[in-house]
Amino acid sequence: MRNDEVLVKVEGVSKKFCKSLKRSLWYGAGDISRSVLGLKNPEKLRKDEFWAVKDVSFEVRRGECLGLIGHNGAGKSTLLKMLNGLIRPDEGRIEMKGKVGALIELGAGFNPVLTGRENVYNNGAVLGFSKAEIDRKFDEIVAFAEMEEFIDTPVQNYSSGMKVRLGFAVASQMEPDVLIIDEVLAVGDLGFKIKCFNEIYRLIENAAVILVSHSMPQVAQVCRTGLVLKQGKINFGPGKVSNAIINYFGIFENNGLNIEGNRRGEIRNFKFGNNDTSVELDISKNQNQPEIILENCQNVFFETSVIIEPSVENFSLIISITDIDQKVVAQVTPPERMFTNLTKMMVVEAKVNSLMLNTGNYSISVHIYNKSNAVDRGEILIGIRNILKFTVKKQKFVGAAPILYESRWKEC
Amino acid sequence: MKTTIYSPQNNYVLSTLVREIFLGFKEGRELAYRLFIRDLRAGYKRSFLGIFWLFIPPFFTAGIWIFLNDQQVVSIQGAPMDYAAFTLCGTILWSFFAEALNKPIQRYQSAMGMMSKLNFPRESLVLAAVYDQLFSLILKLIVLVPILWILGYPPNLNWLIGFLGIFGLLIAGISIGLMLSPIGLLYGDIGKALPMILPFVMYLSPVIYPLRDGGKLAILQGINPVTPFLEMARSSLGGYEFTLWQPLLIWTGVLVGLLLFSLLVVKIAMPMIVERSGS
Repeated sequence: MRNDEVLVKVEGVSKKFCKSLKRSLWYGAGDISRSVLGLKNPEKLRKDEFWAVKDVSFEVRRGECLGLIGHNGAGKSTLLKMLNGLIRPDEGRIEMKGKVGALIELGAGFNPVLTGRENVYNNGAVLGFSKAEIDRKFDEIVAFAEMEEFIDTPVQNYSSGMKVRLGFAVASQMEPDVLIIDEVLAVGDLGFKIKCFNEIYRLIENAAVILVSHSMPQVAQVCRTGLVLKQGKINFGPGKVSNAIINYFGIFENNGLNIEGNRRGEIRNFKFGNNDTSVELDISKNQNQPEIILENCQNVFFETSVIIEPSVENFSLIISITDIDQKVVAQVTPPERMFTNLTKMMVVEAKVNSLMLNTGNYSISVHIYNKSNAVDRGEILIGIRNILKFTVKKQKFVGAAPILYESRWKEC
Repeated sequence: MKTTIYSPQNNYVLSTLVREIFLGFKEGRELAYRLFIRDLRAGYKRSFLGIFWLFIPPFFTAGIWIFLNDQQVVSIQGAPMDYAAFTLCGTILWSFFAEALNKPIQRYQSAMGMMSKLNFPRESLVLAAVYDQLFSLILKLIVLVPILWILGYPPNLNWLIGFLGIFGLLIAGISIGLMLSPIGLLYGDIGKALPMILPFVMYLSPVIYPLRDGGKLAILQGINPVTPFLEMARSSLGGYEFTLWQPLLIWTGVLVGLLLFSLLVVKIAMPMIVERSGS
């Protein structure tokens, strides 16, 4: 087997969907009759129809993993259904080579009143295994699912986690040339999730993989190439997965600032940067997130201009840094100090010697609160999420963790 | 390595379709058997009377007619065999046909969730429907044979011809059911109408009364595909003469054609149905 053969070839694929159920059924009846009679179906959009997928092309080679990303309703699942042969494209052509496996629904064919044992055979048969194959792999499946004790109990008495575990254990026995994965990736509790991941890595080593997920760390971890769909069309790619993820987050941007809190304070201005470069946002004038690229994270400053209502005596603030997944990765906050409210515009500056952040995209949120005591964070007077975003560019590629400690190394 | 190509719905090549259907049956055998066993085990596990539900309906219908005939409320003359045996054969054979007709839609409907998520040979569902019917036939015979014996119709080699008739009923039911499936899966109307129409058609067919020589019923008998197969089966069970050779041949031809055609229609239609009614 050549290692770089193209196993999935998608050329200009489009699919129509209908917004109204009544019309959809009627069009369906018409399409079926026309197809049976060998007549052409209308190519143009009919009333209430729209392109769920439009003009999508890509290729996936053996050993390659393509991450398919996009917001809800972007057409990802529709595209997967076409790749899997469940529905036909309205335009274009799909070529799949070899055995196609899908990790889309775990435990298909399970019947709740039957035992786990019987259902392993049912599920296996739906996935295309012969009885002899399941006989051979049965012990392995049960051991993987850690279900030895309950394998002869009806599946309706299983917890939902146990059901998907058994389903995953059967599905992971596939040895596909093309693997389609939709969201399910890892199921169960933490321990089982790790097992799932190891199993998935084993499966994708030798297959062409198409993965749909909303979890960007997962996509970044598993895929090398990415494709971003937006309203059925390709918004980016196929290209490097890191660029695809940046593009995906770009879709959500410029929605205005996200302001929260009881509004007893007001953030007027926010400034961020280092000695070389900085960016400033005047909230009253601009509601869009400005952007800055930092090539060095030394001597960084955050400057917040605030006005607080006279009824508030003192206040403190938290500046948090989130990654592209909106996960908080770092926080800058005054250790004990409270600021006394001077009831006029105050400028508060925080200086950080080194941000220690890895290459990537981040955004900053600011929250101002009145601290009632040392434990309680108090009320949020005003907070702005994603007030601005910045990109850290380090010279070399330095792994996937968000924090990069500065360290001195020597041979001992 | 196997290459699969998916292209728009109207680019079908007949020979490819036929090959795919053939392969679907071949690859789907094991799945069909699993589905059959699964639903058999599960279906009666949660009912007290279990598989007796398969016998109860025809006995009920036959019982009513035997009673009405006995009481002279309706009087059905000229049955070529004992009337009780005659109606029992008739209703059991009819219910076998009616079940076969309903089976494909039921099978597709219950597998719709799976069909919209996974790609497995769809033909396995047709095969599972056939398995369901063969099993149901065995159960029906277990009841029918001893009763016929008691009523004076012991098993004999002639019954083998009867099985051909039963086979014809199976093909008739499955192919009409398949033909109705695409529309029946899109629209619920077919599913709602069938339980209403089928008993009506039963009374228009020579199930509880013998073949007619003249009148409107005779015309209906002529255009009813069930008539020749049912009569063939019943006449050999009851040892009376079978007279419908010509319609039998014609309907056999028609049904074989219909079966092949309906398999093609379902093959073409299924992706469109999954697209519009699958979750």
